[in-house]
Amino acid sequence: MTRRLLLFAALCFCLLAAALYAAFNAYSFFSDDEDRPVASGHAGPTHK
Amino acid sequence: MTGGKAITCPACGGTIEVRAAGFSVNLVCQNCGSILDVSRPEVVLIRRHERARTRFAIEIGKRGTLFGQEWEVVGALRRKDQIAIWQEFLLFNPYLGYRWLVAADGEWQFGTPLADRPQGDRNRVFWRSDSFSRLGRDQTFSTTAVAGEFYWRVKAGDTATATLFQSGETFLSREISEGEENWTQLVPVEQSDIEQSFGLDRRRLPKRKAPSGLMQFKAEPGLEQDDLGRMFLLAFAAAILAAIAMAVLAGPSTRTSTMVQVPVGGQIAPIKVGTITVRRPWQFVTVNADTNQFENRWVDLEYNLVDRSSEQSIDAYGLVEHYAGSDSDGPWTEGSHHGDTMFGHVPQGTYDVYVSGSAHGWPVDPLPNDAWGQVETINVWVEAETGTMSWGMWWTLVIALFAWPVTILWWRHRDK
Repeated sequence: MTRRLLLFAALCFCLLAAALYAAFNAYSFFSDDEDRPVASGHAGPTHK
Repeated sequence: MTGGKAITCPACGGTIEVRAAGFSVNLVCQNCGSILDVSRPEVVLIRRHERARTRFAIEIGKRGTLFGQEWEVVGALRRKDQIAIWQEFLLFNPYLGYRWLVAADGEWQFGTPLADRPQGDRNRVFWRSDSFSRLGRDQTFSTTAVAGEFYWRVKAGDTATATLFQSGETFLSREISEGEENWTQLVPVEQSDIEQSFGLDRRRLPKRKAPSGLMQFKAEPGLEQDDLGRMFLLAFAAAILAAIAMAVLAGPSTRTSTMVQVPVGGQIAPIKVGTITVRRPWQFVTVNADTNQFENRWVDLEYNLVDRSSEQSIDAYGLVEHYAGSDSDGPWTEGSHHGDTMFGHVPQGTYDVYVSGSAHGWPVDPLPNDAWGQVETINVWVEAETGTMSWGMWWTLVIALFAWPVTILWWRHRDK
């Protein structure tokens, strides 16, 4: 097992722990609370 | 074994043994490090040095048996590229010629110079009915130290470009230096065999440079254990494990749904969709909105989760829109008749779900009543659900997990 693989395994573990912590607390970068739609609702289609 | 003869170094006066007399062209004095030309009867000084000789992992003059043949170490080189430092030893047997031993990162390769040049293109070559694929990009390396004797003129500071081709455990190395191209076949040898045959000074073995452990994007010239496959496997396993764990942590599911009619050009007051229960300390709540088919309309939706115990409301907004038209490129459509809205970090409790909203026409709202006095409405089926997981978070994790190995893979193949 190379040193680089060990470092990568440690990185995977950290990412996994962070993801599970977020899942346990129901945190998400993609939740829509308080986000008003601004993309196209009042402007119509973006097609040109 | 070899036809050795003694000469006197014109620089320091020391006695030097020429081990491959008649074959060697270049010789480095073991006493002072000066480079001598021994191809002619009179020894000529090429470059004078006054320094102690460089020490290598195998001493010059050592003899040993590899692959059933006896070899004598007649020369040694220390070389480096941007990433690694390694040592190469020139072996000589008067009946078989020259061979190489290459040591890097604790691994050894036995090299045989090729008389028959492999054929192929930049990325694949064929040699003796085997196909070899290019490994990584061209690497420029330099010679940093020289000891012993060689059949060509070599000195510290020489540079060359190497390319590796791989087939299983066998590598072909192509070195280009000053317009001359040399091919070498490299096969792995156990370090214990080298140690047993020649004896090793382990303190002199090339050491891995510190940054290479983290940032070694280029595969070592066939001498480094390639762990990229394991990295991908590890990332894949972590992604699967995360999906299972996130689904379990999302918790038990409850759902409620209803259908509302939203007038185009008008709005509706809050309507109760139903009641849901968040059973874990924190959960996601998603609200899915599906509408009937419409074109060039949008529906703004506002959702409220009202906690029955505290009367506190959590708000979020959704949008369903769909447009169609035609221009010089032909017909086009945009948007969807479906919209998802996610509430994050919703605390444990029982919630009444309300929906309100408004619908609009594009580019302007239509008249409130059509010719028959009917008001156009859009049917929206709203479903609120607990116990869902955030797939966006999972995909973010997947990207983070695979970023490193994919970057290494790209780096190795970026010039193909």
